[in-house]
Amino acid sequence: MGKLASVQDIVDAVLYLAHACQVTGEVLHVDGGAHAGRW
Amino acid sequence: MLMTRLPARSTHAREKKAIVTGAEQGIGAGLVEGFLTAGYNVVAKSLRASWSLSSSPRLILVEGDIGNQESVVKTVHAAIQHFETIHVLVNNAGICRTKPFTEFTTEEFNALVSVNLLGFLHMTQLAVKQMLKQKSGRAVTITASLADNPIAGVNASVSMITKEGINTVTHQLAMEYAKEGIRFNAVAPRVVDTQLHKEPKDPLEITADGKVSERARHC
Repeated sequence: MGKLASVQDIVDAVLYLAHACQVTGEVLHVDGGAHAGRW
Repeated sequence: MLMTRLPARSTHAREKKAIVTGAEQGIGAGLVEGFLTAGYNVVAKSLRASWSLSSSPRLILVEGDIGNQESVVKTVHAAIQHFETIHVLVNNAGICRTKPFTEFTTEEFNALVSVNLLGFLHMTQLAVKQMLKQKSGRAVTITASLADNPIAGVNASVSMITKEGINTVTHQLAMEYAKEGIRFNAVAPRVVDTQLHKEPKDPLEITADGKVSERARHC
């Protein structure tokens, strides 16, 4: 994404998972798409 | 100081309670602030919890080594004693070392297992016992994108044994406790710029290459 993730980006993901009542067993990558391949 | 301006409590997360480990700096400190802002009461656990945080009726601080079972028991008991319930456990405490695979020592391996795996085990076991009584709860653990997506030149092989272990146990526990209403998820960051919190340089942080901030962390 052309920049580093911020602490807030990680906090947002954790809060999402805390509230998302249909989501379990998930490993959510917050890495600007790095896990999806090279860009 | 994080606690100088407490935001108004939001309505959607009213009366929710969370435990955050590894709370003293970087992502952990951000998590404490984020959960308080979202209206949670928080028990913050870390080696030096009072270092950057001040306690309040909505923020309980517990100091101690996450690898020490006694301090984990103290943390969960503090949550139950002060808040009666544990809605969310955030397993953020973790360490990471990078060096060539052949140079990792047994002591370093044991330290990684103690903090990243035993800390997770003891904390999550006690939280789940409480969540079973409540018939609901969720755990979110911070792992590392690097576990599934290694980068040439970032030598974290032995550290990633523990992070991949967390990914695996997250899948397993999600199924084991699905019927009990307890959810297990993980967040896998790659490089996070923790400069905003101006914490002292963590000796366990690494520099990947010239493009990456010295304070950034991979895992």
